[in-house]
Amino acid sequence: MQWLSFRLHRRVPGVLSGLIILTLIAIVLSVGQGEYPVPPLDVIKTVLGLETGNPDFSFIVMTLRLPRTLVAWGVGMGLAIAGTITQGITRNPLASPGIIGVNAGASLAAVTLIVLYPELPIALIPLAAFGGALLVALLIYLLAWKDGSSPVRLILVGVGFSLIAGSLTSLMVTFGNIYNVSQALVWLAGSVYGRSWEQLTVFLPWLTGFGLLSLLMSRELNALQLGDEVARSLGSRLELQRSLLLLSSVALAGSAVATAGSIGFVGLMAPHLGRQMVGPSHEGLLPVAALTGGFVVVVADLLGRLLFAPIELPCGIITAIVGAPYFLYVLIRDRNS
Amino acid sequence: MSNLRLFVMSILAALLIIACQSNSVQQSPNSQSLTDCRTIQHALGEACVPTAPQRLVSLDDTTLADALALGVPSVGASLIEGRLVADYLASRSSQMILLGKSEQPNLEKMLRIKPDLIIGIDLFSKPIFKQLSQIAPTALGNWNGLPTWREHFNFVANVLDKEDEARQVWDSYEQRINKIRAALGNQLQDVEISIIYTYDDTITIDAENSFAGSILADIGIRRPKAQAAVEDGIIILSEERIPEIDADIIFVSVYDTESEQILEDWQQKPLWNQLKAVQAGQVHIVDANIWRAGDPMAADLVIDDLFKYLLKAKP
Repeated sequence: MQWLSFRLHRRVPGVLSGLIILTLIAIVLSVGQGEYPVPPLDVIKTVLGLETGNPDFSFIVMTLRLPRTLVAWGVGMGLAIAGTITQGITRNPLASPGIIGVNAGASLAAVTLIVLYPELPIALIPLAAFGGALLVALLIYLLAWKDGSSPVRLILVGVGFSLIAGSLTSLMVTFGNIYNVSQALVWLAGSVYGRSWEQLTVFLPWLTGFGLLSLLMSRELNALQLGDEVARSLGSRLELQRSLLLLSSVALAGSAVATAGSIGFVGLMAPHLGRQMVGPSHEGLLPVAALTGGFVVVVADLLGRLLFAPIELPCGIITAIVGAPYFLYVLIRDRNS
Repeated sequence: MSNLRLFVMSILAALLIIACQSNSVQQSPNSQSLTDCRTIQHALGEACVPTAPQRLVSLDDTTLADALALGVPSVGASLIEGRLVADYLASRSSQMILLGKSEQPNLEKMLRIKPDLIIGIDLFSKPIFKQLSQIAPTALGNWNGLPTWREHFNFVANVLDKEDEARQVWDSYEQRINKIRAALGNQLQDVEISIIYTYDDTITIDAENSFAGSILADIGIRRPKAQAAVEDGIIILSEERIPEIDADIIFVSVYDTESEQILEDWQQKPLWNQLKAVQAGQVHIVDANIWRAGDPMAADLVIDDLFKYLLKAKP
């Protein structure tokens, strides 16, 4: 029974507070920087509702930058938690909701809506994306079922679905009306451009709800990670827990993709960075990975806005530029170990 | 863990560098107050637009061109490519500030140039309409592709309160159509014209109700059967259907060197060389930035091309 008495890694409190401070700095910077800079003091004044002497600041901070930065933060956290869970239940360090097809399902549903039914209100896109993620996850789970679900089959079926959904998305993009397609491409690249308080309030309940659920299930996640045999011998109700965790992961990844489009590699990168900092025990790993993911996307969005202004680089492209080499690095490192 | 510390420190350093290059904010001097405005209907509701707008921002190339045709330059514009690609627009917009791409205009830069009116199309700008409206009164046209170019021009004229000017523009368009129709005379009965453009591995056709197609239709020029009016004004054929585009004369619209390359690939194909127009030496390459635009200035330039290639002389 010693397995269940994981203690918090001694570094967890320090790392957590460090990450929180870094994130706060990044958020204040991100809200202050851009084509129309706002001095840090005025950022804080504006957020607190104080007079700054420049009427534009309130619009810049409260309408344009703060909501999008918070959306970036939340989306990063959601993707990171989803990635940590997926890596935990599949016992595969290279798994993430993106790799097992959840993001592809969400994207396919959203792009179908944008390209085929442009007249429908855009508020439906997140719903469609979430529906797509859920549907694909359900199909993967059912198809991977053979006397119970196995981590390897989950991944293999997931990769297959990811490819199918990806091809169908390309089909849409190739044959759709050119204007609708250009909208779809922007969305596909993964961006928090133009995100407002509305999107944040829709996304927040998902993030907090399923984020907390995941945190509460971190001990179960620890047990699952030891392998089915061990987990079963520890008395885990294996399938129930696995499907509940999978649901959290899908809900978090799906709602994140629904909010900001397809932002790749965060779900893969953040858990790894987290494990490097505080080890594999999920009580500490989940919050650390979440904060890391949030920080990464906030910084990616800031860089995307500054690098080629006035043209914005979607933050999904920045995370891919950093994430793809990191993915290869993990691949090579794991092969050698 | 020294790797990790290095990683964290380099990110911190990068953030600090960004923080320190913060330049001071200059206030635009002329933030004039909205005195008079009149309410107009647009694709997403209504807006109260200034009666005499001084600082127009256009959200796409077509709107920019329409406003220019009415004599109203834009102080800033977001553009489909993020930059001006058509020469006839670039030459008349040297003072204009670029605001990024039409799908994602840079709203902060837009705010800095203090527009008093923003015009665009719903397709690109629906998602950010609320934010745009907070910067300046925003009117979005109902855009259903290039077949609606005339409606959009009239919409821009309505928003800018330039309906008299619009009437003049249409009058002069009408005159040019009549002139070329008269010049062509009997030829109209005998000539069939095909318009295609290079895009990917497919044959893409501007149908009878496309921008260029609608100009040919106004003149009364016949088109091949495969190019009849369709929704969106675009027809895509796979390459083995090249024979269906045949006509006495083929106009090929080309955007850039990449699309020239596609055309060269076609020219290697046996099917291409069997075309009547190819054998008669009647394939003409024209600028897609004009032939596939959608505004009266571009229409004028298309008519110039028609004079040039159909009559070998400009009147």
